[in-house]
Amino acid sequence: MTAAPSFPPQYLAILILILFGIGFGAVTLYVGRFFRMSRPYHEKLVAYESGNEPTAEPRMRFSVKFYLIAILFVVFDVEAIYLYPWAVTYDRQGLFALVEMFIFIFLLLAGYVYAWKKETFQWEK
Amino acid sequence: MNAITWATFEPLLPEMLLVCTGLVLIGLDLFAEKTREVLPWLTVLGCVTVLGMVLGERNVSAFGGMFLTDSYGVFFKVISLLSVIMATLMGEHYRRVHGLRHGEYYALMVFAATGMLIMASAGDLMVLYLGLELMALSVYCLVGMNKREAVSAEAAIKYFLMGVFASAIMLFGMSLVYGLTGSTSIAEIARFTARTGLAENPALLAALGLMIAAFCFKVAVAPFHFWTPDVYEGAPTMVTAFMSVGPKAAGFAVFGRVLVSGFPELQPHWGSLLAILALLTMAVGNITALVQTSIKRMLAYSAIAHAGYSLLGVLAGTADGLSATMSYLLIYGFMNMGAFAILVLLSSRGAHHESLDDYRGLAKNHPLAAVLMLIFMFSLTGIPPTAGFIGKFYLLRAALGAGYTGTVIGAVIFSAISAYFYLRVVRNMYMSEPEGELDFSYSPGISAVLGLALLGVVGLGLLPGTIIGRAASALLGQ
Amino acid sequence: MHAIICQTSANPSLFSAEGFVGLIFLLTIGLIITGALVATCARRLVRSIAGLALCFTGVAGIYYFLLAPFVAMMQMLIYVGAVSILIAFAIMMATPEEGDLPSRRISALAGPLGFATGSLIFAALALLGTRTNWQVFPREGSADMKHIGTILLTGHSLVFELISIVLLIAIIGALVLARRGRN
Repeated sequence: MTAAPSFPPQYLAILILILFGIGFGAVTLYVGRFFRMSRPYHEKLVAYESGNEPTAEPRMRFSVKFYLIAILFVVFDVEAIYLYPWAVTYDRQGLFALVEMFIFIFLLLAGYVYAWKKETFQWEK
Repeated sequence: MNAITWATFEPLLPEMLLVCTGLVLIGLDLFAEKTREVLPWLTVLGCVTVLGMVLGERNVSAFGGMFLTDSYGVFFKVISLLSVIMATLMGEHYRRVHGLRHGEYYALMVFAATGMLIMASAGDLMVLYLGLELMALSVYCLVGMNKREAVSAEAAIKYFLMGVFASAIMLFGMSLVYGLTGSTSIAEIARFTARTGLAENPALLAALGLMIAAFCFKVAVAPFHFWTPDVYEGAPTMVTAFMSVGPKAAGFAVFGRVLVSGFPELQPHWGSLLAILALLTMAVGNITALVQTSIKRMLAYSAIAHAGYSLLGVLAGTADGLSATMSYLLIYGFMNMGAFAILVLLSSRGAHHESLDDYRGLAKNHPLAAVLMLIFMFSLTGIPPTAGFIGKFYLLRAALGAGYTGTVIGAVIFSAISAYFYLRVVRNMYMSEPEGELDFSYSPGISAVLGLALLGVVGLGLLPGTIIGRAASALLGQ
Repeated sequence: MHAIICQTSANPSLFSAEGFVGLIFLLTIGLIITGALVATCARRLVRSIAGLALCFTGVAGIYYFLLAPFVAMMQMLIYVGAVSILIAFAIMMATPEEGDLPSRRISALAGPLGFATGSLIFAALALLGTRTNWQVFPREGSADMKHIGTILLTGHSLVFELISIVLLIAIIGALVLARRGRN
């Protein structure tokens, strides 16, 4: 990569893609307005629950288990990101980097075993 | 990049052993529930082994100066490990009385110790920050250990929110320093500042101010002390004891390292700032402690006041001052652990007996506990034959030597005020009639803590030369 | 960044490369400010999260501008992808806000005081940022993934391993505190 003081050109494509995505969504949603008909009545405006009568408020308390799973997801997400720079240089670094990575993974594996044994993944209890 | 080999990791062996101990503790807790009785003793064994290894460490600078095993670091490592050992032994007693069933308690304690050891040895801001987070994350969990108790949960939430806020402020300061000096190495920052005459740069001063604010939060210096009373009161007593000694010492370790090694050129700035903060801290801690009716809360304010005393050595920025702070933190560790151990001893299932009135007439029924508490209170006040006096003496001398006369006069006045609330406990124990019957027994764990603390307070009081000498020689290698 | 835009030409046309880059930069900044405003002003917490995710995305854009694509990727994967979701779950755990939201009891002083403090901090930082003579340090190699991988696993191996211990504590700590356990 050159040290040119500007936005890295190879990311311009990503940016154009993002702009295209936003534009496509906005345009299609807006254009639809001219073609569809609008005849709202009560049944149509009721929240859709697979054809059943809606029973409760959409907002309810969720179990703490979702949260625990989310926390584990964050942790292993971070781990995966650190695997990436190791993986692209693995061939150049050799055994030492491999062992370092094993220690890294082993420590997180210990956390995984801990979560497993503490029945975090068991839904029914 | 310099090559990394297996030998590079050699100075890190004590920390690696601690991590292994933590993993073994978790493993035993998970897979062999019957071994719960052994966990505290295994923790102590691991910590004592590490203590031995730490004491034998050579002065090495590993990982390109990121990790320094100089004797400055070793001294703080000793304080941290001692605090972990004593808190673990208290936990053993607590488990017997209150039925603490968490095996994680010991593992978290050991991981907190790892973090403190890394903080003490950190020669690089990144390593320093990771060590700090490792310690802080473990302590947040320890504070919230008793989930069922609302005060404990509240304390954990408060501590966590304030703690991450302080960490964010510290990171902001660190990033400014990195932007200005182009390095995260503490030694390199000092070299760069000296070479380019950056000392008067307002951005560097702002960065230093942000970092000082965060450090002050971590060691509970006013005006960043507001979390302390609630958190100390809400946490389980042995965790409070641990927090007031170990993490505080580790906080002072990085405080001293960053200011004295990283920004020596800026000493006139941070010296006078810390002098004001120290005075404020001593005032807030000592005056508020006067009106407390709970001994645990009183000791929390006393911990704030003692943070103020400990600052006296740092603000001087001299080797003399730092060695005074170091030895004071060690002495404070012994006396505070002792006082909290009495609190743990007196608490029973369902009742904590933390009120000042619970100590009425303690001397009549339990003369041994009363006499131990008397010694620890005398030492916290700073009355001559005890170690507390020696510690304060060296601190005041160091600050006086650096020319901070006003702060020293303030320290003496507030020290005299502190006698009122410390000795009130003694008066309650010896000059009042007992109100209710306290029922407790000495477990091996708590006896060991009390013995260690007594040995420290009396031993360092009678033979001060050894400890001060060790602390002073620690700085020569720096 | 300001310097980077102005360095190339004094008054670039919108359709030149510099002008286009400047436009994108302003868009990124707009994303951050909009996201932050939504996050702080929305009365429903769920909307605040959406604002926060928007703000995080803008910050990722800034990292691209600073030629740190790895950090930008981390920002997207961890903050936008994971942390926002985590906060969303935390909100779902809380008691739902029923019907009308209770009006916030804030003293009349809070607004002006908050505004004054915020502006003061902003002014101080802006002054520091513009007045300081920031030095540009030579880059040690490029910021690509291979270079990061090399220094992470050699010179910074201590930092690397410490990260894994901190993550381990995060797992254990979260489970100790949040799990409905035997205790």
